Amino acid sequence: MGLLLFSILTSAYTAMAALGLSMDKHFEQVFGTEPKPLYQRLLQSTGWLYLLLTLWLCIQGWPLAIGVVVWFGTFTLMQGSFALLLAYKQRLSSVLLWATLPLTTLSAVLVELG
Amino acid sequence: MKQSFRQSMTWLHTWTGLVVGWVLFFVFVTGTASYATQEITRWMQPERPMQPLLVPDAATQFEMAYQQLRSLPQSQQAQSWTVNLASDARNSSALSASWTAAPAPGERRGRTETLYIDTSSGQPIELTEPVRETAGGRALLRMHYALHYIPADTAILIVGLCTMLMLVAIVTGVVAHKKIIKDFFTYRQQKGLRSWLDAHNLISVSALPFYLMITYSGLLFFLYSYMPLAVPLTYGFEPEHKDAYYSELMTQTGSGRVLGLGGGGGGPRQAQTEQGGRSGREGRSARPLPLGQQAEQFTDLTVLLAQTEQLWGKGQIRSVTITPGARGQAAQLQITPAYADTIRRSRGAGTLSFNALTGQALPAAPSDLAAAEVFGSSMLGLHEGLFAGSWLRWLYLVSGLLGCAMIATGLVLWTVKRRPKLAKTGEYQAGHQLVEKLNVATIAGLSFALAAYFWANRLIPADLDGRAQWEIHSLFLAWGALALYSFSRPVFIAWRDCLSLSAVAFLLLPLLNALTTERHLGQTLGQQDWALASVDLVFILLGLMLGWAAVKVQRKSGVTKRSTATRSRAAVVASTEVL
Amino acid sequence: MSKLLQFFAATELARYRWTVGWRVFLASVGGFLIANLSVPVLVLFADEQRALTTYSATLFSFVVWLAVIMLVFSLSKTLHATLLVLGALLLMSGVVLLAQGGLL
Repeated sequence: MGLLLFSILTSAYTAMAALGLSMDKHFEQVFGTEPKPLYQRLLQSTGWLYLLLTLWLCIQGWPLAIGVVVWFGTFTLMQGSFALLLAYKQRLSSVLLWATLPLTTLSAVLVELG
Repeated sequence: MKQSFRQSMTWLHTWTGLVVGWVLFFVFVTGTASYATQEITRWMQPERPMQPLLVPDAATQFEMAYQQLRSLPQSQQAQSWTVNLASDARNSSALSASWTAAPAPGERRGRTETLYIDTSSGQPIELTEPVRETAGGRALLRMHYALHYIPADTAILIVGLCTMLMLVAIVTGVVAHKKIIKDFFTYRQQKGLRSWLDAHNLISVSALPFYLMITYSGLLFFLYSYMPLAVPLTYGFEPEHKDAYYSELMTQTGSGRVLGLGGGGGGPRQAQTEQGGRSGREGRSARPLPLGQQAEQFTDLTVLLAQTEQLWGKGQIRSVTITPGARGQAAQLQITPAYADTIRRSRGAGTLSFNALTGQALPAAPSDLAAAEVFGSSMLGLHEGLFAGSWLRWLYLVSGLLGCAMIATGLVLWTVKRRPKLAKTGEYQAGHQLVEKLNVATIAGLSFALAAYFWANRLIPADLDGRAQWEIHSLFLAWGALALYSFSRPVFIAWRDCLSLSAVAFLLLPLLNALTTERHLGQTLGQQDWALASVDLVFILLGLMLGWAAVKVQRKSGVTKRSTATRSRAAVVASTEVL
Repeated sequence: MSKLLQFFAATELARYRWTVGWRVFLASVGGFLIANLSVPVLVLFADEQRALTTYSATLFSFVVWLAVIMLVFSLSKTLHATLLVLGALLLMSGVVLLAQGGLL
């Protein structure tokens, strides 16, 4: 359960951060430049992908309907966290994304194998 | 009415939000607390034993409790035996054996006696002090929909009306927010009004699915009170018409089958006996042997426990119920899981039933329900969240707190927006002042009152008659006192003082706990009774949050005083220039 | 409507307030009645499973009320709002009465 929870949290953060940073105003806020269309596309795809991955992970740990509820609740937490980081610690918000992306992938694989 | 659709929706959002904001803040605060009802009650009854450090497996625990039930003379004539295991389920920190007597003439239910058992020795726990009577978490839960001091029916209607208006506020809020997707992560700090708006928007969007669900499902709880004409207009206004509707509904939704009404299996027997007259089974048993005697014929029940724990996992059995055989039905053993596997509001979903004499598994009740019934009971189930394990329950608590913050930021936003316009008509100012003061009185006042509720629990003598009511009175007395204070002071000072007082009240609670009981953090953390420890920890967290708010108010009022002084100096200069 | 208001309320502000008050009444009381009436009206379309349809329609009636409230406050002319709500009430009550009288 600990590993699953970790993977869900990191996956949800990845999704929120990726989707958030794909927006013009937030990309500029963090990186200081206008985003290239390629970056935006990459971030958006990653965001949606990890959104779905989080759902999949939630359903692994709980019966279907309950998993969906966990999914919503976890995103409440991660959306708020990312938004606060954006407001107060821009650098950290993107650095964290660099970390959570591989961490999620790794832990999700471990969850699947375990 | 206004120029555009969006503008009229904004207007509607503002006024529906304002009118019901204060009542709804109370509903949200007590509602959020209700997700920890049993933990709160246990905190408020410090005489109860803590969770044992080493929890033996289900079979061992059952064996201990079953021995007690078999040997005690008081339990032999009972209508049912229940063993509540120490498990991962909520409110399952201790092993206990209980027996329920048959209802006395005039009673709906028989008395239940409970014996707590020490899991290390198998012997009953002798409580050194009797457990104090308390209003507990249940009072907060009840206040959440039925308020207090008002007749329940009226209160339920008031809360219902506020809930409907909240639904309007949420939907209009979403509709009115043009760039809701673009603003999804937006929070601009230190920009005055803009920051308040961003905060309100961010919080509202953050748990939007939760708010929609909570509001709509809240209405469903008293469906027929809130839409009283719906069924009568369709079926007729006489009582028999209403009964016809209900019995038709039972059949058409399939719940009749599931509840075991009119024959067949069903949910846990206890639920059925609690159905009372509806099942029509009471009083029909033709003098079967008492449970104690029947138990001599039972198979080795412990084996069934061990099997089930293997199947479900350690700590996943909440309780075991044994009911005697009666005419037409063999004696049953029912094992209830820690958590239901469905979001529907259901009693003991997933319960396994066994024939107590043979050990044979009994077929589960048919569970095909009509879609409408699944929807309705799912809504109710989602609202209560009883199916939620630890992680999900914390998410519920966070969402509930965010709801309180949503309402609070909304109320404050209303006043902040209109503060610059104070120079207009005198009447306008009075209305604005009223809202400002009500905001302090409600938001900071209720926070203080909640802390006072717990202070009262520790300070009121444990053996005082009617102390439960006095705990509740303390909540409202504290609230009233702080409300009076807020009305008598300038707004910023009222905010600063009331928030500081609330913060201190919460932060000192764990200390008060340590001074007055044996259930403080030192004990609960050591004993790894996390549920009980988390109550104290949440008190500290609430205190810190309120303290942070108080500090921000203090800083802001410092800035405001300076800028007001600057502005009035500038105004004086400007006016002399004009002259 | 505005002539009536000019008779009763002197200032622009007072007229505005009466208009708002009337819309509140339409949305709350009128909407409430429309929401309740929506149930027997919808049940007319259900031949079997009458109780289930009644239940579902009652669950839905809150959405109906919400829609009426939003509509009443989004229309630019109060007269339109009045006509719509009163019209709906008359129509729905009529349909329900006729149906129960066996004429529909």
